[in-house]
Amino acid sequence: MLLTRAAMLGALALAACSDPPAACLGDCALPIELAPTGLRDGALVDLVDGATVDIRPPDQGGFVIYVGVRAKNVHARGGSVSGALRGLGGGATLAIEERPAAFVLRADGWAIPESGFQDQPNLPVCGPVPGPADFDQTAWQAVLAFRDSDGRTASTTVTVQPRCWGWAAVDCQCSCQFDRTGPCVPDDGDAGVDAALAIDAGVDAALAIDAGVDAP
Amino acid sequence: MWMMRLTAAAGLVLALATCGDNQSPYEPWILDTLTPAEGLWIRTPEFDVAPGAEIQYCYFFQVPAQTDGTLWVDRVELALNAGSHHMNLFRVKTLRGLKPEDGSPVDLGGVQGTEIREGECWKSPNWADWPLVANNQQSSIDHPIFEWAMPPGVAQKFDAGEMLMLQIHYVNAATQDTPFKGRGGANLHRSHDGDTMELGTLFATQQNIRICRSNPTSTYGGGCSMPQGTHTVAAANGHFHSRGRRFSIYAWDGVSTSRPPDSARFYQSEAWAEPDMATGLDVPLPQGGGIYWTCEYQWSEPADGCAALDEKDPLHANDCCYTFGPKVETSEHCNVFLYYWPKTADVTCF
Repeated sequence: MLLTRAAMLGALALAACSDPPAACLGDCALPIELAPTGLRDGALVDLVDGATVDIRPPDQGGFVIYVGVRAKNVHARGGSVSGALRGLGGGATLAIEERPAAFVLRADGWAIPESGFQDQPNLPVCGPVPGPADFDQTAWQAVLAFRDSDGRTASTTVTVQPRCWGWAAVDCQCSCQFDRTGPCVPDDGDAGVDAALAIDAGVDAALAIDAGVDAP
Repeated sequence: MWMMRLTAAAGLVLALATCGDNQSPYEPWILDTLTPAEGLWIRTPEFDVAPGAEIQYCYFFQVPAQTDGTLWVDRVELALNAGSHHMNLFRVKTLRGLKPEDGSPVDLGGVQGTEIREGECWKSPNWADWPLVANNQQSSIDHPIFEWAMPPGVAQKFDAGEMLMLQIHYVNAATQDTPFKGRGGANLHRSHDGDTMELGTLFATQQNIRICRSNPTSTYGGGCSMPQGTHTVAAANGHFHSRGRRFSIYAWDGVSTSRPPDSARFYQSEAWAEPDMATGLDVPLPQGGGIYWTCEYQWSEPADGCAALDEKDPLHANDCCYTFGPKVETSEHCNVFLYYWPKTADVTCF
């Protein structure tokens, strides 16, 4: 009797510990659909060619842009999202990143990044720039891809114009000079940390309202 | 010199006499002091690391006057008492919240400097554009000293008066312990053989990482492009905290938008507390390329529960997420330290 109970408890424990299968967000018999997203003025927005995106200072310091995708017909949990920036004429890739995808299901059936900061690729943009212009004076092609937990992939591209954002703009414009060698003068009150991130985690109000259903 | 060695020996005897409660005799590391003709040396004071504590101290000092205005260094020795999480040496550039003039005067042996304990010394935006000089994560009792001789013809160049900052992080808690006291030191050995090829460094980090209970196995990867030119990697190591399972660095062609093939991998470490520092590398990076690195994590239950993690989670997800942060116990990192030649720029990717 004790053994039977122990076996049942063990089975229950195993069941509780195993990862639940990722649910399909949409219809996974259909191809994956993607649409580019990015962070502008601190809000997660859809991107069209030529769209501006913020260059912002994340917690760790430095400067990044946040670009990603919304997706449909995917198993999002256990998947990943990647982004890369390259010149409009192709050639060198400036920055590339891949990270786990944590998405939530929006009422219209699209899965969107849970956080505009943490669930979109963070692309560092003020390191060595392979071009003759400061980073924020140049348009770039963002190559965005999604791989779901079944290994299915899809990608899309969009042209973006990064711009130094808000309270850190002066520091950003200095830091993003392609040929900078000397120090910069930080903005007044610059603690080097994106205060907005610390306060609201980067999910803008409109997105939060739409994102009513958690992705399983 | 003999007087300094005598002093060090006396210090050894004294230290042995004062460590009777430790589980094994404490044998402090000893580095030779250097004459100005031999290079530059610094030693931090000893400091306590209380049980349960994590501390981080920053020491500022200037490169002393040099006969010809520059100091070329082709060999480094970095020493740490057991228990250190890391030691990083940077060149000081943009001054944000962490400023040498805000520190307390401190005798660093070979030079005088200032010391800032905790506070701004924890905040990584302060050194976001400070070029890496050297780093060490090796602090075991058996191997307290890391030594690296740069490739033939290669050396690091410092200007007289240049401000440097040595940062030391110690942990005496659940994930790492400091059995004695904290202390660090560095010897920067002057090149005497006419090295003219300058060593460059790269410091890269993944931003906004997140390792959560609901997605316990996760991987972050990123690429870092180098300035134009041809570059050869001479040494590298990775850095994450105790959820880190595997750290890999690859040569990247600077064009492809996905992880390079395994054949391009030149560094891999599965040790988080004492990660391997790969030296003796001779890895040419593709022209116009750079590196790609990955951090693979496995979530684990925090020793003190999830409350501290949930409190600092910017998403307030109550998912026991380890997010970016310097504290070993409650946060995670994904950093690359890399040394290459010839230098074309100080590279920071974040």
